[in-house]
Amino acid sequence: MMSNLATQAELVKLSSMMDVPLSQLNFLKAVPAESLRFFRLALVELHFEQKRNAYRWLGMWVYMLPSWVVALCVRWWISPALTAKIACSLSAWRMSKIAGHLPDEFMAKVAAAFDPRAARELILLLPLAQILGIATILLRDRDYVTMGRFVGLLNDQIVQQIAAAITEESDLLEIAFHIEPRERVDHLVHILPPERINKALLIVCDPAKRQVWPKLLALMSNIGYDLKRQLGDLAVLQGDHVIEAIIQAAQEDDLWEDMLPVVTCLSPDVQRHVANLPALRRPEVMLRIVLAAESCALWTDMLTIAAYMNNAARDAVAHAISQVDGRILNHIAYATLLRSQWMVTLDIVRRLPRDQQMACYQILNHYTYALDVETTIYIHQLLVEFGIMESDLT
Amino acid sequence: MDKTDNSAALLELAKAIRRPPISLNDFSTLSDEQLTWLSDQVHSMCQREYQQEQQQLRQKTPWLLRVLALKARKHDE
Repeated sequence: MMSNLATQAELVKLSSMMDVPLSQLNFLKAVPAESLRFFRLALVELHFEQKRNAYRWLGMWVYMLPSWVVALCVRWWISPALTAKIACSLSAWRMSKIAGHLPDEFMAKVAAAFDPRAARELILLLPLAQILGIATILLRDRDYVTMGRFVGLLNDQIVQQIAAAITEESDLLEIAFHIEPRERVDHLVHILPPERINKALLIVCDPAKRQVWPKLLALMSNIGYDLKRQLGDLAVLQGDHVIEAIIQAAQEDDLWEDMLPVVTCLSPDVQRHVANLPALRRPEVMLRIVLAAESCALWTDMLTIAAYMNNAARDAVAHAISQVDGRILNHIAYATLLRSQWMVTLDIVRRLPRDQQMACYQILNHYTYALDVETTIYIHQLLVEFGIMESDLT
Repeated sequence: MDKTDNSAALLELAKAIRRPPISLNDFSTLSDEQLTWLSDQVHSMCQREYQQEQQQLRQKTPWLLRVLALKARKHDE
Protein backbone atom coordinates (compact mmCIF):
# COMPACT_ATOMS: atom_id res chain seq x y z
CA MET A 1 0.00 0.00 0.00
CA MET A 2 1.26 3.47 -0.83
CA SER A 3 1.74 5.68 2.17
CA ASN A 4 2.49 9.38 2.24
CA LEU A 5 4.22 9.08 5.60
CA ALA A 6 6.42 6.15 4.64
CA THR A 7 7.40 7.99 1.44
CA GLN A 8 8.22 11.10 3.44
CA ALA A 9 10.46 9.11 5.81
CA GLU A 10 12.29 7.57 2.87
CA LEU A 11 12.80 10.96 1.19
CA VAL A 12 14.32 12.38 4.39
CA LYS A 13 16.82 9.50 4.45
CA LEU A 14 17.57 9.81 0.74
CA SER A 15 18.18 13.56 0.94
CA SER A 16 20.62 13.05 3.80
CA MET A 17 22.39 10.26 1.97
CA MET A 18 22.65 12.05 -1.38
CA ASP A 19 23.41 15.36 0.32
CA VAL A 20 20.70 17.25 -1.55
CA PRO A 21 17.93 19.46 -0.08
CA LEU A 22 14.70 17.58 0.65
CA SER A 23 12.77 20.00 -1.56
CA GLN A 24 14.74 18.83 -4.61
CA LEU A 25 13.41 15.30 -4.13
CA ASN A 26 9.74 16.33 -4.20
CA PHE A 27 9.32 14.75 -7.65
CA LEU A 28 9.88 11.34 -6.02
CA LYS A 29 6.72 11.65 -3.90
CA ALA A 30 4.80 9.69 -6.52
CA VAL A 31 7.14 6.69 -6.21
CA PRO A 32 5.95 4.07 -3.67
CA ALA A 33 7.85 4.03 -0.37
CA GLU A 34 8.97 0.44 -0.89
CA SER A 35 10.65 1.32 -4.18
CA LEU A 36 12.35 4.35 -2.63
CA ARG A 37 13.61 2.09 0.14
CA PHE A 38 14.95 -0.34 -2.47
CA PHE A 39 16.71 2.55 -4.21
CA ARG A 40 18.17 3.82 -0.91
CA LEU A 41 19.42 0.37 0.11
CA ALA A 42 21.07 0.04 -3.31
CA LEU A 43 22.86 3.32 -2.59
CA VAL A 44 23.93 2.05 0.85
CA GLU A 45 25.37 -1.04 -0.78
CA LEU A 46 27.07 1.01 -3.47
CA HIS A 47 28.52 3.23 -0.76
CA PHE A 48 30.02 0.29 1.14
CA GLU A 49 30.96 -1.87 -1.81
CA GLN A 50 32.97 0.90 -3.49
CA LYS A 51 36.65 0.12 -3.00
CA ARG A 52 35.81 -2.59 -0.52
CA ASN A 53 39.12 -4.35 -1.11
CA ALA A 54 41.04 -1.24 -0.11
CA TYR A 55 39.13 -1.05 3.18
CA ARG A 56 39.68 -4.75 3.76
CA TRP A 57 43.35 -4.21 3.19
CA LEU A 58 43.46 -1.32 5.68
CA GLY A 59 41.42 -3.48 8.06
CA MET A 60 44.15 -6.11 7.86
CA TRP A 61 46.64 -3.59 9.27
CA VAL A 62 44.28 -2.89 12.14
CA TYR A 63 44.66 -6.51 13.30
CA MET A 64 48.42 -6.07 13.56
CA LEU A 65 48.32 -3.15 15.98
CA PRO A 66 47.08 -2.95 19.59
CA SER A 67 43.54 -1.58 19.98
CA TRP A 68 44.64 1.60 21.75
CA VAL A 69 47.13 2.42 18.96
CA VAL A 70 44.44 1.94 16.34
CA ALA A 71 42.06 4.13 18.36
CA LEU A 72 44.73 6.82 18.56
CA CYS A 73 45.37 6.66 14.79
CA VAL A 74 41.66 6.78 14.09
CA ARG A 75 41.13 9.82 16.32
CA TRP A 76 43.99 11.80 14.86
CA TRP A 77 44.19 10.73 11.22
CA ILE A 78 41.01 9.21 9.94
CA SER A 79 37.55 10.78 9.57
CA PRO A 80 34.51 9.07 11.17
CA ALA A 81 33.15 8.28 7.68
CA LEU A 82 36.30 6.45 6.61
CA THR A 83 36.55 4.79 10.03
CA ALA A 84 33.03 3.42 9.53
CA LYS A 85 33.98 1.95 6.17
CA ILE A 86 37.15 0.29 7.45
CA ALA A 87 35.35 -0.93 10.59
CA CYS A 88 32.82 -2.80 8.48
CA SER A 89 35.59 -5.13 7.34
CA LEU A 90 36.61 -5.99 10.93
CA SER A 91 35.17 -8.60 13.25
CA ALA A 92 32.65 -7.35 15.83
CA TRP A 93 34.99 -8.40 18.61
CA ARG A 94 37.87 -6.30 17.21
CA MET A 95 35.58 -3.34 16.57
CA SER A 96 34.31 -3.42 20.17
CA LYS A 97 37.88 -3.48 21.53
CA ILE A 98 38.81 -0.37 19.50
CA ALA A 99 35.48 1.34 20.27
CA GLY A 100 36.31 0.98 23.96
CA HIS A 101 39.14 3.51 23.45
CA LEU A 102 37.10 6.01 21.45
CA PRO A 103 35.02 8.88 22.91
CA ASP A 104 31.22 8.86 22.52
CA GLU A 105 31.36 12.02 20.43
CA PHE A 106 33.55 10.32 17.80
CA MET A 107 31.53 7.09 17.97
CA ALA A 108 28.30 9.02 17.32
CA LYS A 109 29.83 10.37 14.10
CA VAL A 110 30.99 6.88 13.12
CA ALA A 111 27.48 5.55 13.83
CA ALA A 112 26.00 8.05 11.36
CA ALA A 113 28.14 6.54 8.57
CA PHE A 114 28.13 2.94 9.75
CA ASP A 115 26.52 0.09 7.81
CA PRO A 116 23.76 -1.13 10.16
CA ARG A 117 24.08 -4.63 8.68
CA ALA A 118 27.54 -4.90 10.28
CA ALA A 119 26.40 -3.38 13.57
CA ARG A 120 24.15 -6.11 14.95
CA GLU A 121 26.91 -8.06 16.70
CA LEU A 122 28.95 -5.00 17.63
CA ILE A 123 26.01 -3.55 19.55
CA LEU A 124 25.82 -6.70 21.65
CA LEU A 125 29.46 -6.28 22.61
CA LEU A 126 29.45 -2.57 23.47
CA PRO A 127 28.95 -1.65 27.14
CA LEU A 128 25.58 -0.14 28.04
CA ALA A 129 27.19 3.09 29.28
CA GLN A 130 28.83 3.65 25.89
CA ILE A 131 25.62 2.97 23.96
CA LEU A 132 23.77 5.42 26.24
CA GLY A 133 26.54 7.97 25.75
CA ILE A 134 26.39 7.65 21.94
CA ALA A 135 22.58 7.89 22.03
CA THR A 136 22.82 11.08 24.11
CA ILE A 137 25.15 12.69 21.56
CA LEU A 138 22.93 11.65 18.64
CA LEU A 139 19.90 13.04 20.46
CA ARG A 140 21.73 16.30 21.19
CA ASP A 141 22.55 16.57 17.47
CA ARG A 142 18.93 15.64 16.59
CA ASP A 143 20.24 12.84 14.38
CA TYR A 144 16.97 10.91 14.52
CA VAL A 145 17.69 9.07 11.28
CA THR A 146 20.79 7.38 12.75
CA MET A 147 18.99 6.63 16.02
CA GLY A 148 16.08 5.09 14.15
CA ARG A 149 18.50 2.98 12.12
CA PHE A 150 20.10 1.45 15.22
CA VAL A 151 17.25 1.32 17.70
CA GLY A 152 15.81 -1.71 15.93
CA LEU A 153 19.04 -3.60 16.67
CA LEU A 154 19.08 -2.91 20.40
CA ASN A 155 17.66 -5.25 23.00
CA ASP A 156 14.59 -4.27 25.03
CA GLN A 157 16.47 -3.41 28.19
CA ILE A 158 18.73 -0.93 26.39
CA VAL A 159 15.82 0.59 24.48
CA GLN A 160 13.99 1.14 27.77
CA GLN A 161 17.01 2.82 29.30
CA ILE A 162 17.57 5.07 26.29
CA ALA A 163 13.86 5.96 26.25
CA ALA A 164 14.02 6.80 29.96
CA ALA A 165 16.89 9.18 29.23
CA ILE A 166 14.86 10.96 26.53
CA THR A 167 12.75 13.55 28.29
CA GLU A 168 10.74 14.86 25.34
CA GLU A 169 8.03 12.66 23.82
CA SER A 170 8.45 14.55 20.57
CA ASP A 171 12.00 13.16 20.35
CA LEU A 172 10.65 9.64 20.85
CA LEU A 173 8.21 10.18 17.97
CA GLU A 174 10.94 11.56 15.72
CA ILE A 175 13.06 8.47 16.37
CA ALA A 176 10.10 6.11 15.91
CA PHE A 177 9.44 7.75 12.52
CA HIS A 178 12.83 6.53 11.26
CA ILE A 179 12.93 3.07 12.86
CA GLU A 180 14.04 0.28 10.55
CA PRO A 181 12.66 -2.25 9.96
CA ARG A 182 9.14 -0.83 10.40
CA GLU A 183 7.93 -4.17 11.78
CA ARG A 184 9.95 -3.43 14.93
CA VAL A 185 7.91 -0.31 15.73
CA ASP A 186 5.05 -2.32 17.19
CA HIS A 187 7.30 -4.19 19.60
CA LEU A 188 9.22 -1.07 20.62
CA VAL A 189 6.01 0.80 21.43
CA HIS A 190 4.93 -2.17 23.56
CA ILE A 191 8.01 -1.94 25.76
CA LEU A 192 7.59 1.78 26.47
CA PRO A 193 5.75 2.81 29.65
CA PRO A 194 2.04 3.57 28.91
CA GLU A 195 2.33 7.06 30.43
CA ARG A 196 4.93 7.97 27.79
CA ILE A 197 2.52 6.86 25.06
CA ASN A 198 -0.26 8.94 26.67
CA LYS A 199 1.97 11.99 26.68
CA ALA A 200 3.02 11.34 23.06
CA LEU A 201 -0.65 11.25 22.04
CA LEU A 202 -1.27 14.63 23.67
CA ILE A 203 1.37 16.22 21.44
CA VAL A 204 -1.30 16.44 18.77
CA CYS A 205 -3.02 19.12 20.91
CA ASP A 206 0.11 21.25 21.14
CA PRO A 207 0.37 23.67 18.20
CA ALA A 208 3.98 24.38 19.18
CA LYS A 209 4.81 20.78 18.21
CA ARG A 210 2.99 20.94 14.88
CA GLN A 211 5.94 19.50 12.93
CA VAL A 212 5.78 16.32 15.02
CA TRP A 213 2.07 15.59 14.42
CA PRO A 214 2.65 13.58 11.21
CA LYS A 215 5.18 11.46 13.11
CA LEU A 216 2.51 10.57 15.66
CA LEU A 217 0.15 9.57 12.86
CA ALA A 218 2.98 7.58 11.28
CA LEU A 219 3.46 5.75 14.55
CA MET A 220 -0.24 4.91 14.67
CA SER A 221 -0.22 3.63 11.11
CA ASN A 222 2.82 1.40 11.67
CA ILE A 223 1.75 -0.51 14.73
CA GLY A 224 -0.19 -3.77 14.85
CA TYR A 225 -3.92 -4.29 15.05
CA ASP A 226 -4.10 -4.68 18.84
CA LEU A 227 -1.92 -1.70 19.58
CA LYS A 228 -3.82 0.46 17.10
CA ARG A 229 -6.97 -0.41 18.96
CA GLN A 230 -5.39 0.33 22.34
CA LEU A 231 -3.94 3.66 21.22
CA GLY A 232 -7.15 4.63 19.43
CA ASP A 233 -9.19 3.93 22.54
CA LEU A 234 -6.67 5.87 24.57
CA ALA A 235 -6.90 8.81 22.18
CA VAL A 236 -10.70 8.87 22.48
CA LEU A 237 -10.40 8.78 26.27
CA GLN A 238 -8.42 12.03 26.10
CA GLY A 239 -11.51 13.77 24.73
CA ASP A 240 -12.89 14.91 21.39
CA HIS A 241 -10.38 17.74 21.15
CA VAL A 242 -7.59 15.16 20.70
CA ILE A 243 -9.44 13.28 17.95
CA GLU A 244 -10.35 16.55 16.25
CA ALA A 245 -6.70 17.60 16.37
CA ILE A 246 -5.72 14.27 14.75
CA ILE A 247 -8.36 14.84 12.04
CA GLN A 248 -6.99 18.33 11.47
CA ALA A 249 -3.42 17.03 11.19
CA ALA A 250 -4.46 14.28 8.77
CA GLN A 251 -6.35 16.85 6.71
CA GLU A 252 -3.61 19.47 6.62
CA ASP A 253 -0.90 16.98 5.64
CA ASP A 254 -3.17 14.88 3.43
CA LEU A 255 -2.57 11.70 5.41
CA TRP A 256 -5.96 10.03 5.08
CA GLU A 257 -4.52 7.10 3.18
CA ASP A 258 -2.49 6.35 6.32
CA MET A 259 -5.30 7.07 8.76
CA LEU A 260 -8.23 5.17 7.21
CA PRO A 261 -6.72 1.72 7.97
CA VAL A 262 -6.03 2.91 11.52
CA VAL A 263 -9.68 3.86 12.11
CA THR A 264 -10.88 0.43 10.96
CA CYS A 265 -8.79 -1.18 13.71
CA LEU A 266 -10.46 0.75 16.52
CA SER A 267 -12.96 -0.95 18.80
CA PRO A 268 -16.57 -0.77 17.51
CA ASP A 269 -17.73 1.90 19.99
CA VAL A 270 -14.72 4.08 19.29
CA GLN A 271 -15.18 3.64 15.53
CA ARG A 272 -18.80 4.70 15.86
CA HIS A 273 -17.76 7.74 17.88
CA VAL A 274 -15.03 8.78 15.43
CA ALA A 275 -17.12 8.09 12.31
CA ASN A 276 -19.82 10.46 13.52
CA LEU A 277 -17.69 13.35 14.68
CA PRO A 278 -18.82 16.64 13.10
CA ALA A 279 -15.18 17.42 12.24
CA LEU A 280 -15.14 14.42 9.90
CA ARG A 281 -18.33 15.54 8.13
CA ARG A 282 -16.88 18.82 6.93
CA PRO A 283 -17.15 18.74 3.10
CA GLU A 284 -13.45 19.46 2.49
CA VAL A 285 -12.42 16.73 4.96
CA MET A 286 -14.81 14.12 3.57
CA LEU A 287 -13.77 14.89 0.01
CA ARG A 288 -10.11 14.24 0.88
CA ILE A 289 -11.08 11.01 2.64
CA VAL A 290 -13.05 9.82 -0.38
CA LEU A 291 -10.20 10.76 -2.72
CA ALA A 292 -7.72 8.84 -0.52
CA ALA A 293 -10.02 5.79 -0.49
CA GLU A 294 -10.24 6.00 -4.27
CA SER A 295 -6.58 6.57 -5.08
CA CYS A 296 -5.25 3.99 -2.62
CA ALA A 297 -7.91 1.29 -3.08
CA LEU A 298 -9.17 1.72 0.48
CA TRP A 299 -12.89 1.37 -0.20
CA THR A 300 -13.16 -1.80 1.87
CA ASP A 301 -11.83 0.18 4.86
CA MET A 302 -14.06 3.12 4.04
CA LEU A 303 -17.16 0.91 3.94
CA THR A 304 -16.24 -0.59 7.31
CA ILE A 305 -16.19 2.91 8.77
CA ALA A 306 -19.35 3.93 6.89
CA ALA A 307 -21.17 1.06 8.56
CA TYR A 308 -20.91 2.99 11.84
CA MET A 309 -21.96 6.33 10.32
CA ASN A 310 -25.24 8.07 11.06
CA ASN A 311 -27.43 9.79 8.46
CA ALA A 312 -25.55 13.09 8.53
CA ALA A 313 -22.18 11.39 8.04
CA ARG A 314 -23.48 9.22 5.17
CA ASP A 315 -24.92 12.36 3.55
CA ALA A 316 -21.43 13.84 3.69
CA VAL A 317 -19.94 10.71 2.10
CA ALA A 318 -22.54 10.75 -0.68
CA HIS A 319 -21.92 14.45 -1.30
CA ALA A 320 -18.17 13.82 -1.59
CA ILE A 321 -18.67 10.83 -3.93
CA SER A 322 -20.92 12.91 -6.17
CA GLN A 323 -18.03 15.34 -6.71
CA VAL A 324 -15.59 12.68 -7.91
CA ASP A 325 -15.13 11.01 -11.30
CA GLY A 326 -17.83 8.44 -12.17
CA ARG A 327 -15.38 5.51 -12.20
CA ILE A 328 -15.36 5.68 -8.40
CA LEU A 329 -18.73 3.89 -8.40
CA ASN A 330 -17.18 0.77 -9.94
CA HIS A 331 -14.58 0.62 -7.21
CA ILE A 332 -17.15 1.12 -4.47
CA ALA A 333 -19.30 -1.65 -5.95
CA TYR A 334 -16.35 -4.04 -6.03
CA ALA A 335 -15.40 -3.26 -2.40
CA THR A 336 -19.05 -3.78 -1.46
CA LEU A 337 -18.98 -7.18 -3.10
CA LEU A 338 -15.79 -8.12 -1.20
CA ARG A 339 -17.19 -7.01 2.16
CA SER A 340 -20.87 -7.83 1.53
CA GLN A 341 -21.74 -4.33 2.71
CA TRP A 342 -24.77 -3.95 0.42
CA MET A 343 -26.95 -2.24 3.01
CA VAL A 344 -24.32 0.44 3.80
CA THR A 345 -23.42 1.09 0.18
CA LEU A 346 -26.96 1.30 -1.08
CA ASP A 347 -27.92 3.57 1.82
CA ILE A 348 -25.17 5.93 0.57
CA VAL A 349 -26.13 5.45 -3.08
CA ARG A 350 -29.73 6.56 -2.39
CA ARG A 351 -28.30 9.91 -1.28
CA LEU A 352 -26.48 10.43 -4.62
CA PRO A 353 -27.90 12.47 -7.52
CA ARG A 354 -30.33 10.49 -9.72
CA ASP A 355 -27.93 10.02 -12.63
CA GLN A 356 -25.33 8.47 -10.33
CA GLN A 357 -27.98 6.23 -8.79
CA MET A 358 -28.76 5.00 -12.29
CA ALA A 359 -25.07 4.38 -12.96
CA CYS A 360 -24.84 2.37 -9.72
CA TYR A 361 -27.89 0.37 -10.65
CA GLN A 362 -26.33 -0.54 -13.99
CA ILE A 363 -23.08 -1.59 -12.32
CA LEU A 364 -25.01 -3.75 -9.86
CA ASN A 365 -26.93 -5.35 -12.73
CA HIS A 366 -23.63 -6.79 -13.96
CA TYR A 367 -22.88 -8.18 -10.52
CA THR A 368 -26.24 -9.82 -9.91
CA TYR A 369 -25.64 -12.29 -12.78
CA ALA A 370 -22.65 -13.68 -10.88
CA LEU A 371 -24.20 -13.70 -7.40
CA ASP A 372 -26.20 -16.40 -5.68
CA VAL A 373 -29.98 -16.18 -5.68
CA GLU A 374 -30.33 -15.16 -2.02
CA THR A 375 -27.88 -12.25 -2.38
CA THR A 376 -29.53 -11.13 -5.61
CA ILE A 377 -32.95 -11.09 -3.93
CA TYR A 378 -31.49 -9.24 -0.94
CA ILE A 379 -29.93 -6.57 -3.20
CA HIS A 380 -33.17 -6.30 -5.15
CA GLN A 381 -35.11 -5.73 -1.93
CA LEU A 382 -32.65 -3.04 -0.83
CA LEU A 383 -32.86 -1.34 -4.24
CA VAL A 384 -36.63 -1.21 -3.90
CA GLU A 385 -36.46 -0.12 -0.26
CA PHE A 386 -34.07 2.73 -1.06
CA GLY A 387 -35.91 3.73 -4.24
CA ILE A 388 -32.99 3.06 -6.59
CA MET A 389 -34.88 0.65 -8.89
CA GLU A 390 -34.75 1.49 -12.55
CA SER A 391 -38.56 1.83 -12.71
CA ASP A 392 -38.40 4.53 -10.08
CA LEU A 393 -35.65 6.39 -11.84
CA THR A 394 -37.11 6.62 -15.31
CA MET B 1 5.43 10.49 -20.11
CA ASP B 2 5.55 7.42 -22.28
CA LYS B 3 7.53 4.57 -20.79
CA THR B 4 9.62 4.13 -23.94
CA ASP B 5 10.73 7.77 -23.76
CA ASN B 6 12.60 7.31 -20.54
CA SER B 7 13.82 3.74 -20.92
CA ALA B 8 17.39 4.84 -21.71
CA ALA B 9 17.49 7.08 -18.62
CA LEU B 10 16.01 4.28 -16.52
CA LEU B 11 18.65 1.90 -17.79
CA GLU B 12 21.33 4.44 -16.93
CA LEU B 13 19.98 4.81 -13.38
CA ALA B 14 19.84 1.03 -12.93
CA LYS B 15 23.44 0.84 -14.09
CA ALA B 16 24.45 3.59 -11.68
CA ILE B 17 23.02 1.75 -8.67
CA ARG B 18 24.04 -1.67 -10.01
CA ARG B 19 20.56 -3.12 -10.02
CA PRO B 20 18.52 -4.77 -12.81
CA PRO B 21 16.37 -2.23 -14.70
CA ILE B 22 13.20 -4.21 -13.94
CA SER B 23 13.67 -3.50 -10.24
CA LEU B 24 13.16 0.21 -10.98
CA ASN B 25 9.75 -0.24 -12.58
CA ASP B 26 8.12 2.18 -10.17
CA PHE B 27 10.51 4.90 -11.32
CA SER B 28 9.26 4.61 -14.89
CA THR B 29 6.63 7.28 -14.20
CA LEU B 30 9.43 9.83 -13.81
CA SER B 31 10.49 11.97 -16.72
CA ASP B 32 13.72 11.58 -18.65
CA GLU B 33 15.15 14.70 -16.98
CA GLN B 34 14.27 13.51 -13.51
CA LEU B 35 15.87 10.11 -14.05
CA THR B 36 18.98 11.69 -15.53
CA TRP B 37 19.18 14.05 -12.55
CA LEU B 38 18.97 11.05 -10.19
CA SER B 39 21.73 9.22 -12.07
CA ASP B 40 23.89 12.36 -11.93
CA GLN B 41 23.32 12.62 -8.19
CA VAL B 42 24.34 8.98 -7.68
CA HIS B 43 27.49 9.53 -9.71
CA SER B 44 28.39 12.74 -7.90
CA MET B 45 27.71 11.08 -4.53
CA CYS B 46 30.19 8.31 -5.38
CA GLN B 47 32.68 10.79 -6.81
CA ARG B 48 32.44 13.05 -3.76
CA GLU B 49 33.06 10.16 -1.39
CA TYR B 50 35.94 8.86 -3.47
CA GLN B 51 37.64 12.25 -3.52
CA GLN B 52 37.15 12.82 0.20
CA GLU B 53 38.67 9.47 1.04
CA GLN B 54 41.48 9.89 -1.45
CA GLN B 55 42.29 13.25 0.08
CA GLN B 56 42.23 11.74 3.57
CA LEU B 57 44.48 8.90 2.60
CA ARG B 58 46.91 11.30 0.98
CA GLN B 59 46.98 13.92 3.71
CA LYS B 60 46.50 12.08 6.95
CA THR B 61 47.86 8.57 6.62
CA PRO B 62 51.52 8.08 7.61
CA TRP B 63 53.66 7.91 4.46
CA LEU B 64 54.40 4.19 4.56
CA LEU B 65 50.77 3.23 5.09
CA ARG B 66 49.76 5.79 2.48
CA VAL B 67 51.92 4.22 -0.21
CA LEU B 68 50.57 0.79 0.59
CA ALA B 69 46.95 1.97 0.82
CA LEU B 70 47.09 3.76 -2.49
CA LYS B 71 48.67 0.70 -4.03
CA ALA B 72 45.83 -1.45 -2.69
CA ARG B 73 43.34 1.08 -4.00
CA LYS B 74 44.89 1.02 -7.46
CA HIS B 75 44.75 -2.75 -7.38
CA ASP B 76 41.07 -2.51 -6.40
CA GLU B 77 40.31 -0.26 -9.37
